Amino acid sequence: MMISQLFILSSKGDHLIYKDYRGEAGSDVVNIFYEKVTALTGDQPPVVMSHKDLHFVHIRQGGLYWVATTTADSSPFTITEFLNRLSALVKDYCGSLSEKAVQMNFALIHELLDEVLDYGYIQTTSSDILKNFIQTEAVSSRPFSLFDLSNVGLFGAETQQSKVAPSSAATRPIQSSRDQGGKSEIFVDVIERMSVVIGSNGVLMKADIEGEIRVKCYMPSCSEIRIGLNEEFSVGKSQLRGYGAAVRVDECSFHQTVQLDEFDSHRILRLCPSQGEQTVMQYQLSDDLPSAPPFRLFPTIERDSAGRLLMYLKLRCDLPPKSTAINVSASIPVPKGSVSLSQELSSPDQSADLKLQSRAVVWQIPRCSGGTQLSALFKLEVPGLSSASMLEVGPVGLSFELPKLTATGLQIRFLRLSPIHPSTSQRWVRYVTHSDSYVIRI
Amino acid sequence: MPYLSGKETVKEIRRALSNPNIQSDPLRYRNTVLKVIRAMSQGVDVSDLFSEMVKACATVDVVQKKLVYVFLCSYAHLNPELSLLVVNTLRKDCLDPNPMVRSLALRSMTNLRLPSLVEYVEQPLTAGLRDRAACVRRVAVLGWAKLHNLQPGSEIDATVVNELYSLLRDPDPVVMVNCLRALEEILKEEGGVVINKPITHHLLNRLKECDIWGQSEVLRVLQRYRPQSEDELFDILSLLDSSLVSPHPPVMAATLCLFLSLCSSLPAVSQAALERVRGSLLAACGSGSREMRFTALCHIQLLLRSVPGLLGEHYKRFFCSYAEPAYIKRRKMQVLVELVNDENVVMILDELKGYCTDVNTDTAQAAISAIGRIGRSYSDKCLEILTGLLGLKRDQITSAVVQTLCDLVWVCPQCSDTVSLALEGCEEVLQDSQGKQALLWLLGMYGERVSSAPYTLETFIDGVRSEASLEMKMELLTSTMKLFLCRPAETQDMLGRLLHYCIEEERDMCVRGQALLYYRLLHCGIEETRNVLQGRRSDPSMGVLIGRPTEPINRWVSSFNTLEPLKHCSVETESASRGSPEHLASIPKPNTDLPDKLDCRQLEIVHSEEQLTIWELNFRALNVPTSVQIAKFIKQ
Repeated sequence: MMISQLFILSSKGDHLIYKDYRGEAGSDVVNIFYEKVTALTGDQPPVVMSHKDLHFVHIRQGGLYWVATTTADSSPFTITEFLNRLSALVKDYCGSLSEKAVQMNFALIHELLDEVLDYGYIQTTSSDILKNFIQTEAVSSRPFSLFDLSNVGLFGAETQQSKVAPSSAATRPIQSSRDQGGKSEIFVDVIERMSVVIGSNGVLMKADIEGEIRVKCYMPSCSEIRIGLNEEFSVGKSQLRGYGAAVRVDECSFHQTVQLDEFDSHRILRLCPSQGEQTVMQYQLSDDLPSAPPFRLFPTIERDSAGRLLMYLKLRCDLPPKSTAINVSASIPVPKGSVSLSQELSSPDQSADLKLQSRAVVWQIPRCSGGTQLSALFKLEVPGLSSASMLEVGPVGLSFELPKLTATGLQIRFLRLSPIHPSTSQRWVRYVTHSDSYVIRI
Repeated sequence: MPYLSGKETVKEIRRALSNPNIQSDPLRYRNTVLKVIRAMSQGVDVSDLFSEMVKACATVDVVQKKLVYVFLCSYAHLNPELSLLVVNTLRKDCLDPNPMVRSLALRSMTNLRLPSLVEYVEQPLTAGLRDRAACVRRVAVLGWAKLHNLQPGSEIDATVVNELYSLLRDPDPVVMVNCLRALEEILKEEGGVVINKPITHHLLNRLKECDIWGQSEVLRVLQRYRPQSEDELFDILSLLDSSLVSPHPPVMAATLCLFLSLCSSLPAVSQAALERVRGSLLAACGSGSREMRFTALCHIQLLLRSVPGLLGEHYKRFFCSYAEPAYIKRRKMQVLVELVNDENVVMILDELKGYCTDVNTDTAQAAISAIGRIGRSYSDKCLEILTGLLGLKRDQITSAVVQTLCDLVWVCPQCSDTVSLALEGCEEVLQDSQGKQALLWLLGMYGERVSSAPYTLETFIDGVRSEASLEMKMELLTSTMKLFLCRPAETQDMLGRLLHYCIEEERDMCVRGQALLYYRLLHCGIEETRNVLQGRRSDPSMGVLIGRPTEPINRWVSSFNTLEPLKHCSVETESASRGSPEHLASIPKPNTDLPDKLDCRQLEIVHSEEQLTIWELNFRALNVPTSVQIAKFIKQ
């Protein structure tokens, strides 16, 4: 079980990083890999490919190929997990993950690769241990921009009142704070991915939520944090639900460093976060959502006298009134051979396009607040439209983002640092729910 | 400097590296070295700079040292003589007070991969094993493995091996795991590190100290251990229980592997382990990383081969999300087919139906054939969906459906009525030759019941001159022959034309041979022809072949947690459908000319799955699957 070579390629096949740990095969395998991966047809699984007795295992992350060559008896779980962890480390150290970031920080990445693997054996991937060994400074690929000053308040004072963290705040290298006297900050993100299927009769057929609590720590010396969850948080199906807003998940698992002695009684997680990003807790909930699914669609589909396909769609947002969904995009598959689209949308900030490549009408809604209802009328020119081809319309796929909201209702009651840090340290708690897959059948 | 060629870049850098002004300014010197590495990463050949870089390695700047070592390790094999110069610097660094510098020097020294340097490396390596700092010991331990592999066939140094064994008790868990790794490599000829009772118990006790990578490694090595008593076995199992439900897939997979190998003689315990691991596997299937999802899915397919009922109630976890790549969707559908039972069949079919019109044709085809698979046990519901899809009149969908129907009636002849009704009109939509071939085969089989069959065949026969595909022509010949037997008046003329063309004008030997065979067959009289072409499809005992028996776990356990399950394009997922009784009943007449001794020999063949597919193929291609031919095939 070892990794013979490791390399990072851009999506165009440029060699960004190449490291040979065991000297068992030449560097020409990089090109062999790229030829193979680009020649794959759709039905061939790409994760593992082989060339003679060499095996390539790769992942795609940040638009890059992260490839390890290894022997056939290696554990695929270990290697994929390792490559994922490596890309996360690179992201932590470089601030962001892109071709440019990797190119600019190649020295740092070489250093990382030296420490993480020796002779192809994984040594450590913990950023706590690694920080003692990594000497190179990260080069941030983000150019200086006036917009970054937006969180600096009037008269140059730091706006402590501002409750919203700038979106760029968490995409910086973990070590820059050490020397630049930067802010010591900690971010606790609750991220949920929702996957829902709603039947053509409006019945909720499947609803799954996969959630995680992620801690991103930019503190040079953080001894312990305590994260308090909702007190009425319960795990498992058996527990009876009382009145009120109980928060329930089916299963949850914790990072090995999390101390759970206060979890059963007070729902408090204790941990000493290492620098960089780590997933502290993961949880799942299936089939039993605490609230209505965020979107419903009411479609009417018919053929008009001129042989055009008429689609009248009403989209209702069932979020609580104060919440909003952003970047909503509905993709409606349409019959093959659709030529052109005319549209009537309920407000000017929306837009819709006919994407011939994916055979779908994509309806973009930048923002949609709870309790509102949007409508759209699409007229499609489809030569030779038959009643059978009407069956090709649907199912509608919806993608969106729900900021400041968790679908399970999980909340962070408090986030305490001990020992109490001076006021320079900032704590941020952020919530977001993404649509992993939100399908509404027609 | 993108507009400079590689050579000029090298020249430029060399000038800078030997410039005394730069050499005296640490920051500029480091930046120049950085340029070398950058050029190296971009694929420029910078090996000419070797001697300049050797000089650059004598520095107190750790970052620069690291960079130079990266360079030296990549190019040392091209300059063995010059590399000797580095050794002195490296050996000096091995005595540095800073443990980080010591470990760096030791690692670089062993990474030079030069057999000529071995004698200089041994002494610092020996010292490294006893270093105060764990990070140096880690490097030193693996260094011995590197050294050993540099000199294949050399004697194994017993003192080193002993020292490594004693370092298994090192307080640092990474050193311990590295010792295991090094011993595995050094003692490869003797079967790897000795796993006896004290070592096993020591490793198990320290398992919790290791990180997930170390744990997976230890668990893997422990697979060789055989407990001496049942009590010991169960002690080990209960110790490992928490790892079995670990949220980290590598640990979970390695533990399960160990469980299965320890309990190979206790099927009930193995079964319980599989059930215990279910939650973690399902979680891995929903992981944020699609590669991890894929890995978990492939392993679930392995598990289902032995425990088909394991995940029946969790079928919704295998519904595809629409943004997933096609290769994951395909696997999920394969799993869904295995999970079908009376309770969930409606939901699963409903979900699969939604995928059939997917933009991605691979996904659509996979969904259609998945429905076909389910149709072997739930034919009515599936036929309804499949025939409904034909109404869309889309060439790719129709082609996939016709091919699926073909497979379905082969296994479930009771579907033939519905299928033959649905075939009308398909020929206008079909574009590709696989779809057309399947249609021809169906028309040959059930031509009696499809009123337009002769006209469809006639269109194909009229176009046979421009037909490029060999398989199409063979199929056309057979189908026309079969149709002739049931509808002679309408078909006689076109069969004559086809045979004439194939015998006189066709250039391909196979087609010619086949046509001649049919021609001569017709000379023997219509009864004889009927006997050959419409003979019984197969003998009754073949019905058993449809359902796949659950396999014992040890059939796949050796490939669990290896790359093997991920490699195959698509595992032949023979659906676990039960051999339908209707099918057995529909066999028309008892066989008289089957040799008695066939039965026992057939059993041998049933064991191998590949054989089965060859069988099916042969029948389909020859289309004259009489028992005579089965016998012939077996004798081969």
